[in-house]
Amino acid sequence: MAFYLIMIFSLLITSPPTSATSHSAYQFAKAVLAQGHSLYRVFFYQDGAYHGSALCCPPQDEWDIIAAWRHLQVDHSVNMVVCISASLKRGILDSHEAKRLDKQGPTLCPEFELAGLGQLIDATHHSDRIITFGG
Amino acid sequence: MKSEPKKIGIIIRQAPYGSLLPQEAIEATLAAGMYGQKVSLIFMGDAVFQLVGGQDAAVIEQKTMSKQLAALDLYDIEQLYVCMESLLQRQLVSENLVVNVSVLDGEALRSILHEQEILLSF
Repeated sequence: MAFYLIMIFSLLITSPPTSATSHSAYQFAKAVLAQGHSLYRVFFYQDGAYHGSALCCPPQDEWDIIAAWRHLQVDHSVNMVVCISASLKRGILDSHEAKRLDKQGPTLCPEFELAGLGQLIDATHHSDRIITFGG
Repeated sequence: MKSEPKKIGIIIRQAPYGSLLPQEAIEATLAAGMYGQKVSLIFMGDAVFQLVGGQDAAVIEQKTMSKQLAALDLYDIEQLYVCMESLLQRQLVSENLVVNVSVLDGEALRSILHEQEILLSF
């Protein structure tokens, strides 16, 4: 019988969805799940916060990385958190923040949630490895 | 967070003022300190410029980085390291630095990185 170690991973994504790094992170997340490991959280920080945008419209003949992340969340119930301080300054707001800050409306995809940096530190506690995708 | 604090190494590589990113890396570091983690902060590459004295970022409508780094102490982040190689490559010496950091050669740096349970790289 094959004997292998199940590990708990979290990902820290600091590059925007327009970066090839986002694609690498997505492939890594899929590989983690495919190999039976656990993905505790994907934390989007810095320019990674743009992943939460519900307003990106790539041309139809281009791969839609945000849609791919959204499907991953739906299919595997991955906890995907966007840092609230990073997101607000980049125009990514949930309905609560949009109302609070008197903006036209929410711009955050429903598959993501806004939360503080405490969720990143929490992920360091509950994961065997945090893998950073940035630059 | 009730569980045992972890040893978290945070690596910063970016020069100050080029974008929001170095500022946000420091915010993440402060958060780790606020939640009682054992944080080691490591400056490498162009991030060493964050430590240099005589900065006045008000003239470019930004917050002066070296002043913000002084706040790390208030969050119990006292393990600050800088890569010696990165300083030498940029013609800097420890006398140019206004923040109290330990200068480490490659071997010492590797040993610090090896000690960490979690590494976050910015």
